[in-house]
Amino acid sequence: MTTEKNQIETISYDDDIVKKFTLATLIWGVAALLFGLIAAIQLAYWPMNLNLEWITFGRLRPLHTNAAIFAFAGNAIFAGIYYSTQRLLKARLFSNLFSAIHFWGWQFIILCAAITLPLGYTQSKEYAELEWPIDILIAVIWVVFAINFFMTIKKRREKHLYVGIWFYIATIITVAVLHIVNSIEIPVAPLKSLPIWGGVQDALVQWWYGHNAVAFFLTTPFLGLMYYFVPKAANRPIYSYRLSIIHFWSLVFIYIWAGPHHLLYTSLPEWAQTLGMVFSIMLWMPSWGGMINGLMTLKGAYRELIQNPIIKFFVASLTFYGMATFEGPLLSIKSVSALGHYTDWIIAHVHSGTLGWNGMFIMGMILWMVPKLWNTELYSKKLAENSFWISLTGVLFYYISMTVAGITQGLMLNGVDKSGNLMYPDFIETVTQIIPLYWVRALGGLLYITGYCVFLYNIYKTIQLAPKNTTLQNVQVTRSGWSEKYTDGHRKLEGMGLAFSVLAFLAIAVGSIIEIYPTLSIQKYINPADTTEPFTPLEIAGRGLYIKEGCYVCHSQQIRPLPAEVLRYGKPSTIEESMWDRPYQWGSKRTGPDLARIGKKYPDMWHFQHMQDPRSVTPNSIMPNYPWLFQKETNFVQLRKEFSVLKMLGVPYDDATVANADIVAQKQARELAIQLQSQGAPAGLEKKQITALIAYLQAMGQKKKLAPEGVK
Amino acid sequence: MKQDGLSFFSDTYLTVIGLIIFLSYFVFMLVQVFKSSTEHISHLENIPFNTKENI
Repeated sequence: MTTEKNQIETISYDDDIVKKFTLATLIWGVAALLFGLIAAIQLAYWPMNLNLEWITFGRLRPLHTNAAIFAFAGNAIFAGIYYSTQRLLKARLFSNLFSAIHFWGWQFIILCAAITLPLGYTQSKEYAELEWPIDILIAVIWVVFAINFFMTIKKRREKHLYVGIWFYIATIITVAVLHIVNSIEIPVAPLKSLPIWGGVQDALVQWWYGHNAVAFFLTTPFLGLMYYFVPKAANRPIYSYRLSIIHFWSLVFIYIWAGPHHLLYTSLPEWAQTLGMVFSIMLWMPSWGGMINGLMTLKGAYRELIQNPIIKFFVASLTFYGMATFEGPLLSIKSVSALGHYTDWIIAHVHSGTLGWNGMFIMGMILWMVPKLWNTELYSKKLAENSFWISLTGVLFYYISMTVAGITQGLMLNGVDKSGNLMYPDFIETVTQIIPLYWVRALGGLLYITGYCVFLYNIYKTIQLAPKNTTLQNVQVTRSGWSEKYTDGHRKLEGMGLAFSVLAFLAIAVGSIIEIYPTLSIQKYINPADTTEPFTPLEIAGRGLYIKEGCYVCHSQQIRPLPAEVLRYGKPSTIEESMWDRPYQWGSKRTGPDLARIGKKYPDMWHFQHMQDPRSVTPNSIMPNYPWLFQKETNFVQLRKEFSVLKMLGVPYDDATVANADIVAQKQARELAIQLQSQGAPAGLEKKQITALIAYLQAMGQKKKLAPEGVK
Repeated sequence: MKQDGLSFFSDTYLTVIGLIIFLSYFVFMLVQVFKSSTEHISHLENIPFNTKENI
């Protein structure tokens, strides 16, 4: 390398923003884990729902996932990125103001989520539940973060961009693309919108987003952090820098294609499913490349593993990353997916990633970073050790119990005897079988929180004992790499931030376009003869309540063409059946049975009793009671606006229905209320939410075929 | 059974295009990576150690 004779410059890093994000991580971590623990107990012991709408499972679960991903992991990512970027680029962050807007804006978004989700304002799209005003806010704050980051790159003193920075670039670009495309929605009310995508399109775009939210929010930034913090903690360079280059480009290129593995055996076109499966299996290779690179960095430093709790956290984290990235491709194989999908095996897989890979890494990173940020020593190595072992035990309890629960339930649900009958025809049989494992999961969660609290106490004491009133610390840096003559392409690229970012964008754009674009021409896959009528205004009102209560969290609406499923639920779902659905409601988990063909399977009164007290019609059910649906009234007024948007998006409603949507809905509600009353329900239900919900439930899978001229 | 399965498999060219793009891209990256000099790689991997955390 060319030797440079640059003058030494004295600068200071903006560690104040790193401290803020670190503290936010610590606080939101408690909230995210606590919500998860309550949700876990609710599944084992339904009265824990407390008959309160705000904390009932369907609303609490999205709050838990959003808190874990965007509040806990999100703040940790920002803390780690801001800490490492300044040091890797030898430059202070671009703007104190942008940093402050980023921090406070992000906390405000989390606060909005914490208020709106329990109130039932949701788009029902996993990890993208937040409504349109918050979506806009997320986009704005993300752009602020991007400007702050890229402008820091621009004023850097180190010409070469270290591999960790590449991962940050890929994260920032891809999350922006994913969020914007998946959030294209039309507002209907201040906190309600409808996606422009419908049915299978919505499902594909959502899982392109959902899968890559995990990839580019919970994986690539953490890999970037891994490439910085693991070598620093082990005090040795990364095992193979060459491997890291291959790791990066392979991972960002392949990851984006794998989304459809969430939709195997659904009515998604077969080619897209196969594409998702093939690329998911290919993903194993770069994922393990990264894991091996991280773990092998510790080669020759095994004493550290024994003596240093921070290294323990990192090794456990990378091991869980390896496990999760082996299991992910495995679950993407169609025959394995047939067993594992919709079961708790997926929940186990996700938590080995978030609690094991992300959670353990965050704890290790903070234990390493806090003493340096506060210019002190770690309060207690012993406490760090204890927090590690307690948390690790917690993850293992969680993972093992849910894997066993998932496989058990999957086998039971798919069981067909020699006569061709279901071995376990009652869904509830398969649920009661795994309740003990739900208790083990709750115990695992409790242990993890306990370990986290020990870690928290250790960090609190570390900060408390830090010297007060320390002055801003300066650091001396020199410019390097700027006078170098480039000899090859990638080497040149590593010094060109903008060109590198464009190429990273192209890497993710190729898969996205090939995967999504053909599916947008939905007519190609639709048989006009199979197109069904759209829902009536009252059914749409009920559908809104179905979404609000988070029914999709536990019930799918997609029957796979598997023998047991056809026996249990009826003929496989078709692409036409959900083509008007905005948002789609295929679901991803079956804590309860599929509802695609629930309509008319039971009398209206059965649903009335079921929503009042599920155990009155399904003994041992773990579903919560929904007493507020019998008290609250349906919002009919909003239907006109909603129907005008649906019509604009191509749903075949006539003008009279749109103009009188509320009146049409109330008429159907009166008829249904009279019918319910004749079956023993109290009078005066026509305006109650339960009536609209029953109308929707009874319409599922029961819509008549639409005349061909109705299809546009 | 295989034919039944394949009868639902349309637009095969998209999967093939995807795989060809990835393979070309991967081979290109591999060549680029191994063309880099050891000295340069050594500089890159030591970037995290070029500054102190708290001076």
